[in-house]
Amino acid sequence: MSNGAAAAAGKHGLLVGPGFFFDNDDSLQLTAWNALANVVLTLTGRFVRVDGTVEPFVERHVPNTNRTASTAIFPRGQGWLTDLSIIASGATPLRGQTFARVDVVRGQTSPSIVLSTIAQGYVTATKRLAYPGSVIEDSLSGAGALRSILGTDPGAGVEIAETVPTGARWRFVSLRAALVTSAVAANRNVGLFFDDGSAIFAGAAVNFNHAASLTFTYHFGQVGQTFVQTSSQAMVSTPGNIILPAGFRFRTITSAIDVGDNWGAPQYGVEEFLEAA
Amino acid sequence: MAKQCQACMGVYEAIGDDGLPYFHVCPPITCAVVKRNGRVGLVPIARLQDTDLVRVQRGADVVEVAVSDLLPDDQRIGDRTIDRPSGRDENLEVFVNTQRQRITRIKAEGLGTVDVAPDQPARLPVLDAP
Repeated sequence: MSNGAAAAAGKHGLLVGPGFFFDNDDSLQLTAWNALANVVLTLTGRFVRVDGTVEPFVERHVPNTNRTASTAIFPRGQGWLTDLSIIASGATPLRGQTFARVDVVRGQTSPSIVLSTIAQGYVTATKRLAYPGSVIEDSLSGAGALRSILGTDPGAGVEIAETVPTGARWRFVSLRAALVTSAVAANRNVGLFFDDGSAIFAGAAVNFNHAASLTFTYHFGQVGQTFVQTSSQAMVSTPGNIILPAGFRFRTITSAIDVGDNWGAPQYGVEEFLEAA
Repeated sequence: MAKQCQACMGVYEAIGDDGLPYFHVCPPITCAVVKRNGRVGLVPIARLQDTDLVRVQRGADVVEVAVSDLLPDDQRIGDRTIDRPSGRDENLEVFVNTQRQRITRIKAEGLGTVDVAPDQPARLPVLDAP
């Protein structure tokens, strides 16, 4: 019990309350990072007033959908927070798509002074984040959201390049894309490379001459070895456990690419985490 | 409705099948190393001229040939990529203005986008039910 709790208890008669004491200047602050549209976070709990009254409460917050932080402050008045939980509704985010943190703060407007963090972790439409009980979790720990993404269909003569969006961290899983070469002479050689926005730090190239006027589909992933599977499909083994923070890219490099060559839209798999900060 | 970036001409859907927004970023430009008028430098592949000289792997040899004289098994070597001028980057940057407000905006507008109908819808309707 803090000094504030002792003073309040002395004035109002309740000597020791259950849970976390709030003075009049203290509030609950919910900060959320979210990637999915239509998510609503519902925060429910119970509060014991200094006169001993038990007060249930429900608060709602609509987080941003672009992985940037959004904050809501809920003043509670004087008393003890006994328990709370947060759940997502309105949509069904996967683990890895909606991350929430509940702080006790001094003040009722942002920016406020954070006194303590009492709950932090991913929430879904079925998995609650609870105080007390839930572990204070980092947004980069555990499992992320497995996503299958259709990337940009590049213009003719342009390579595939996909960039990790702001607020996300990806673990690369796989990529599939087809290259149609023009009739212009010269063999092409294809590779998939990973860079930090400029400098390449890993990659996988195909030891296969992709001739003119030929359509070939490339499958990149941790397949153990690189081989041409059929007359139109190649499996390309990529380095394992490639972790890519925001701004990092993966992109094809097609040696001798012609201005008439055409990569199709890539479909790729990643495990996504939110960079809650 | 798909969008087409007017800087790189790439086509993409602003919202993915899983309901998450997609943030387009233009790919870099591929350039060939050429000798033109006696000078060596980078030329975007869309601007290659028949008389430009490029180095190619021809069998076991590396030879310098004019673009118009490339053979089917030649492999041009030495390509580089450069950042696209006026490229679009839809990723967000957050900053705090002088009024201490958090402002979110995309990093680079580039040349903008136009709405386009894809050549073929991503999901074709079943015309004759099984």
